[in-house]
Amino acid sequence: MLHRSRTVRLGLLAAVAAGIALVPMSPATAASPGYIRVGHLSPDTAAADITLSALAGGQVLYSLTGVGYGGVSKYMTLDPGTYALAMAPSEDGSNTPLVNAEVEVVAGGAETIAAIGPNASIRLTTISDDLSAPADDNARVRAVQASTTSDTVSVATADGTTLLDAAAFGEVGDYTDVTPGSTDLTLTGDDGDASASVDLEGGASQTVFVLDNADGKLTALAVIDSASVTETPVGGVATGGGALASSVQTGMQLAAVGTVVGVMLLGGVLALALRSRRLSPRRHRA
Amino acid sequence: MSRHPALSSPGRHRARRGPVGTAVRVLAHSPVLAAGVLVTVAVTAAAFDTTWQPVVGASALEFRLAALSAPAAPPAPAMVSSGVGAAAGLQDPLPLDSGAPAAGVRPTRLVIPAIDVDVDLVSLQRDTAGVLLPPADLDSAGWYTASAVPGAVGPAVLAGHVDDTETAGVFSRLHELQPGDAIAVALSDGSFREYRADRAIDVAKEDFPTEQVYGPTPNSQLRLITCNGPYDYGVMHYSNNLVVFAEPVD
Repeated sequence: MLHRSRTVRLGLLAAVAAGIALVPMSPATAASPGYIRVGHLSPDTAAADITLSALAGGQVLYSLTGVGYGGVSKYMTLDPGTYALAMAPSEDGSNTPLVNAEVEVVAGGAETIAAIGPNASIRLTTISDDLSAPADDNARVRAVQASTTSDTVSVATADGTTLLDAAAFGEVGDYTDVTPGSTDLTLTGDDGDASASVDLEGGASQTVFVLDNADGKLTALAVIDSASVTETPVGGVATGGGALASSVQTGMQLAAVGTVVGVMLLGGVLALALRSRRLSPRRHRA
Repeated sequence: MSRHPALSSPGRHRARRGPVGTAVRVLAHSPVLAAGVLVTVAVTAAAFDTTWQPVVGASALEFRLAALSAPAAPPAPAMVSSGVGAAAGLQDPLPLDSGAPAAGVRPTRLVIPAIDVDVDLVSLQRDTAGVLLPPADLDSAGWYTASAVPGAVGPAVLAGHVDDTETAGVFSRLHELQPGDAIAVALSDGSFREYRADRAIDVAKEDFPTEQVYGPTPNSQLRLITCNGPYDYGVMHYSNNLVVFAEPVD
């Protein structure tokens, strides 16, 4: 079996300085990657640029520009290790960081690093994300209290399942398996209820961030944490009839397969060293 | 999301609401705040020794001018900040742009230049026993309709024949794929989603790694499945499946 290749991204400063996308390069190693996504959830903070850099050497690995309020990135795939996350105003000429933090990436782990709170007291919070699939094609959902206008927030689905109960600012609710489909969440804050329609997908985990809108009312932003195949097939797939099978002894075929696997392993080392991945410097929100 | 140059559609443009627009929006909702801005602008204007003075009841255009004149329009009192990266006040969160295809969009075509694959995609389903049915046609590859649409979070599962009893099939050269090789899937909305081969496993069908292939992923991934040797002439089937895992090109 081949192992997943990890990435160590190299020498990107010139590209970053030129405002060009990032070019990850990678030798292959055996460990699983981890995942980090970042969000701008501070309602009175203007668009920001977010960079993720290697702690050692300071090489910028990912750069997101012009991330506005409500912007949550896709997951960025990273080798386990420690990284530096920095968020600065996108405004031209600004070089004062808004917030920054060290981020620990664990193999197989996933985290959301979100800038929350009013601009005057903006801070980064780290939320652990569960990438496992809900049972039986259910939908899995949780809510996060990121509203700055309500001291406490409660969230319930249309069928009465409570996702947050008088949660304080920054509180992260537990993942809860629910019936898939569209539902209207009731968001209860200090000033009464608001409603937010979300589509809860079967086989997927989602996080609902409770946020403020421009009028200071509660609103919700739902993002997908992970998704799997629904109606998971049983076993393998019958996709061959044998025309290409050699009638010579099985041992040679096994050797051939072994060669293929070996070549691909080697290829993983070589080809991935040349692999490039781009994160566009343009407005990137996912 | 990436778009194939040859099949690109016009980029989506998002109206960006700058500080000025936001300020005007907030002012429209908040007379008190508007007054505060006017006062501040008056002070600012005085500080810069300009003759322009905003007045109560100024038009929308003057509000706009006011916001332009004031380097940082003051937000509501509760939101007063040091001003680093501050917006003019509370904003509406931007609508989520996950990059995922719209509902109803389907993959239509698979292109793998390294192994000369360029085929239309059919739809694949499970049989009553829950086994994924391959394409009826040897030359077709198919997309499992209960897997992710390429571009959406989750594994998108494509399967094709390596051969039948007489000729080579669409995925006869899948084993030649090298990590890093480009794989593109065209969608019915005209966009292309691009992936790079990451790894492959050659596994006995009876030990098929269901969780690895069909289980949850935090991003958009692709699985290409075909048959692989050794061939069991007793049951007229290959014993193994070759599964190529591909990662998205961001």
